[in-house]
Amino acid sequence: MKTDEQRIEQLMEMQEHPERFTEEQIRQALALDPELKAMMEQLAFAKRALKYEETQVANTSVDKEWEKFAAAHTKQPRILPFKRLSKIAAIFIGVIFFAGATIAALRHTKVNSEQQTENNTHASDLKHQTSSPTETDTILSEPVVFDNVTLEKIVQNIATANHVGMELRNAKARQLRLHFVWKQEDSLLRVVEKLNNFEAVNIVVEDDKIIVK
Amino acid sequence: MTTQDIEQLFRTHYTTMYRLALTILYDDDESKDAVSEVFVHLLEKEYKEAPPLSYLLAAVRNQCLNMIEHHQVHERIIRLLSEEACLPTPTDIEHRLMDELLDYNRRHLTPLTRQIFKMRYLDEMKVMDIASQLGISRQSVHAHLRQAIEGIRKYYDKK
Repeated sequence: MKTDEQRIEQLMEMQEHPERFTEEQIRQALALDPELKAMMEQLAFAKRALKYEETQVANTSVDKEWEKFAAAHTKQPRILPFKRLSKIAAIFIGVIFFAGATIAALRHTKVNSEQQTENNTHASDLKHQTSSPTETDTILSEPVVFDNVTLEKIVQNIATANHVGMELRNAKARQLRLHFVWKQEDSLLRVVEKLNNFEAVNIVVEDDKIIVK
Repeated sequence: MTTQDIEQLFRTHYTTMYRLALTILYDDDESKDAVSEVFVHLLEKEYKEAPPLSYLLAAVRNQCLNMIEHHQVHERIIRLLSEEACLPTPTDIEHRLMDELLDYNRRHLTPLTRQIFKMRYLDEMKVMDIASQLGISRQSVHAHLRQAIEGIRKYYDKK
C-alpha cells in the first residue's frame, strides 16, 4: 500500500520526466491507484483556481474576436462599427494635431533662433512649448472587465494601478460580487464615482487611500 | 436567431465564456477555439431563441472536455488537464470553491511555496528553470512543490 508521500513523488516524477513513462504506464498507474488519480484531479482543480484568479483581470478584445469570428463564419458584409470609425477619426485628429504642433514648433524655433542672439532665455521656453503636445498625448488602454469579481479584488486592482492604499471597513461589502468595466483612462475619482453607483457600495478616497465603508 | 442576435450574444457573453475555457484548457488559442465552436454550433443549428448564459457555459465546458480527450495522457498529466476536475458545477458554486481553496492556500502555504507552485503548474516551468530563476537548489524547489501538494491534499481531507 502506497503512502501519500510516495504518491506525491510518483506524480511529480511523471510530470517532470514524462519521457521515462509510456502512455500505457501512466494510464495504468492512474487506473490502478484511485488515490493517485484523486491527487492529480485535486491538483488540476488547484491549477484551475489559480487560472481563474489570474483571468479575473485578463483583457480580451471582444470587438476583435467578433470581427475574426464574423469574417470566418458569417456571410454578413463587414461594416466598420461606429466605435472603430470614431477611433480612426481620433487617430487622424491626433496626427493632424501632432503635425500642426510640429510645424508650429519648427516655426517657433526659427523665430527663436533669430532672436537668440538678443535673448538666450527664449531657448528654455521653446523647449517647454515644443515638448508639451507629446507630454499631454495619452494612449487609451483597453478597459478591464471584472465579471462576477469581489469588490475587494476590484478595489485592490484599482488601488495598485493608482499607487494608493486601500482599507476595507465593511466586511459585507468586500464579498460583494460585481460586473464592472474599468476604463483605465478614467481618473481615480471618476472610477470611485462609477463604483458608488452600485447599490450597497460606499467608497471614498481619503489620504491617498481607497476606503470601502 | 439572426446573425445580429448571435453578435449580440457574442458581445454580451464572450468574456465569461472565454474565461471559463481558460480555466479548463489554460491555453489562450485553444480557449478561443472552444468558444468559437460554441457560436458556430449556434449559427448552424438556427435556434429560435437566444439560449441563456448557463447553456452557453455548459456548452463551453463540454467543448473543452472534448478537446482534453484529444490530448495524450502524457500531456494531460504534465499540464493537469483533467476532465474529472471540471464537473458540470454551476460557475458561481465553482468560483466559491475556488475562492475557498485559494484562501486556504494563502493561509497555509508560504508565499515562496505558492510562487513555486504557480511557476511549476500555471506557468508550466521545469523544476530546473524555477531553481535557476529563483537562485535556489532543485531539491529546494522540489521540497516546496511537495509541501504545496501536501497542503492541497490536507484541504481536501478536511472537507
